Amino acid sequence: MDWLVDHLAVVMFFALIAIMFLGYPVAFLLGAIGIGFGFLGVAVETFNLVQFANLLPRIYGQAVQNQVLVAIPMFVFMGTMLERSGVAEELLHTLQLMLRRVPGGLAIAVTVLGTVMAATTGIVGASVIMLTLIALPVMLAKGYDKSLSVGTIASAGTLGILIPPSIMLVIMGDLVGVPVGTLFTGAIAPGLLMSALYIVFIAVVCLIWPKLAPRLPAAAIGVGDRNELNARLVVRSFVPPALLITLVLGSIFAGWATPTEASGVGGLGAILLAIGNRRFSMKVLREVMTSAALTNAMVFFIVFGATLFSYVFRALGGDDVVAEILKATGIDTGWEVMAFVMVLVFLMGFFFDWIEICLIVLPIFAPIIGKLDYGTAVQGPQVILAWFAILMAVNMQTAFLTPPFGFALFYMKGTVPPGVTMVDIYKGITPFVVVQLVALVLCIVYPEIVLYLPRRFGFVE
Amino acid sequence: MQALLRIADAIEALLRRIADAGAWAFIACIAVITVDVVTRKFGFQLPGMGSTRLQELEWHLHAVLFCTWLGYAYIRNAHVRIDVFIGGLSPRGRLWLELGCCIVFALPYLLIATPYAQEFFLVSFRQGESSDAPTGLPSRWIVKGFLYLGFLTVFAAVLAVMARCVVALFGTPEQAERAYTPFATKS
Repeated sequence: MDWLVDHLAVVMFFALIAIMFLGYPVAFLLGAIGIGFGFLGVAVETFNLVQFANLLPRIYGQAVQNQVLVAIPMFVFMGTMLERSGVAEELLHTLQLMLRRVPGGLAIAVTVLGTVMAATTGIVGASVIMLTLIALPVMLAKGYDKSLSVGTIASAGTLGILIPPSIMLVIMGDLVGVPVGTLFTGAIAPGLLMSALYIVFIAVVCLIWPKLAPRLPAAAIGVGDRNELNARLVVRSFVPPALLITLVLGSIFAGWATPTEASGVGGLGAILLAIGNRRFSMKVLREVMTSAALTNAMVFFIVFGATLFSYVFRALGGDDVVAEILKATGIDTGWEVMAFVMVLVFLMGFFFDWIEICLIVLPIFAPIIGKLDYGTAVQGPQVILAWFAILMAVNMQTAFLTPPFGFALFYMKGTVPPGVTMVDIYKGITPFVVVQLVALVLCIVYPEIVLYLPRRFGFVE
Repeated sequence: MQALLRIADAIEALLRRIADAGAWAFIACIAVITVDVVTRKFGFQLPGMGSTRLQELEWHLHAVLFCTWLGYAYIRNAHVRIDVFIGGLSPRGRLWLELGCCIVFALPYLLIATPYAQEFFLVSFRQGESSDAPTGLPSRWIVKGFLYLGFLTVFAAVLAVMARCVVALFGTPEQAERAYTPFATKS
């Protein structure tokens, strides 16, 4: 009993995990568990009733009075608007023509498309649904293997949350206290590395088993005169997204604009692109606003709940308890704690979405990790935390793909044409999860992959 | 039963209106950010719209945006659920579970948080609180009012969902049909 009283915070953590499986919205559960354990704490005199009065100021400070998080709705809006702007279809068409002589050319085209669109969107739902809708029917029609097609699309669409701008990195920066610009620059190399590994994997597989990916005659790609690859087509399809990426990311990296400013201007840019492609109408605007506002409300209601949860967790001495338990189990050097957290996040990824993992794991482990020693390559709390956040981000790429609750799978399930079964999907994503783990290990063993660009741009020392 | 359905319909219609109006904060926020960036980078200032004010206006608008959508997002089932283990439940089972979770989790949370949100807003309102920055926006209580409104919309949404669950569980088949709940029919 005394043990329970001292370790109420741990009980709280596991109670949350258990209760989340009830399938009730996580945002409510976080808040309810926070308040419930606050009362339990009052009963065993480790929490004071007066402290409940701090809850609202906390929520206000974390979610409302927060200039940085304004970037989230703006990036969501920008991504949702771009999805409707017709930019992606154009790009896929051109990429297909460019890559038609490469083994698995169409699959590689989809990965490149995912990479480019990832840089412009920043949300997983949007990019996975978009890629499934525009690329999957094409791949299946051209005789590509179902599993390969699905795996390619799910992994490429998932890049959206890793490659900046990404709303996940905005939230992470806010949680661990590292500027969002640092995380944005830090995520570029790992994102591109992962994308490159996907492409190598696809090319090798298609070289060995050409049946998986039949080569396409040019005439099979376009209609009428649209099957000729020419400079005009390349310029027309590459320039608009390239311009927006330069505008948004360039101004952040150059230190010219804050992420919030860049996101707002990016939102305007997406509207202009849609207008330019004659896809804009009041109906589209309303639909985009509705979809983006729902995503945004979902994110921020979880932030409400998580703020409440973390506050009570801290007040119950959660930080000390976690450190003490780690020590008792013999996990106390930097690398051991890092390995522990990485395995924990990977396992949590099977069931939880990035947002729950971020909001629960980061506040608990970031303060501990920041104080540990990782040798001379990664020194100083800011550098360690930036590296740690990116490792989490890379790790959580797997969370989208691993059943039973991979967000990417969840979105795909609703959009795949009949004839593609869950077994095809599972078979398709497995090799890509292995590729993701390879990328994660590389980023752990060679921290420079993550840290070179932030150093180069002067975000960290 | 009929009355419960009417109440749920009324709440949802109201939440929809609030959300639709709040969505325009997207456009307003994009406009404010653009004006702020343009004026600051090119070194001029519109009268009464200094950068401090514009930047405060950005997060004020964002607060309006998400607070007006919190409740409606529950009606539209946009809040993330971990539904791997309850996918196999019968429709009635899911209704019971949703109703139970509303009572055990959502209501206690809201019954504690909403009065604090009200207090938070009223204290600010009575003091006529404005920005801490001398050049900031006046009337800070407005944005705190929206936070309170946000909790109220969630409260209303939970009541509407509970009403629909009750009708779907205990009403006549026609009523249950009308009490369609997005979460109960989704696989």
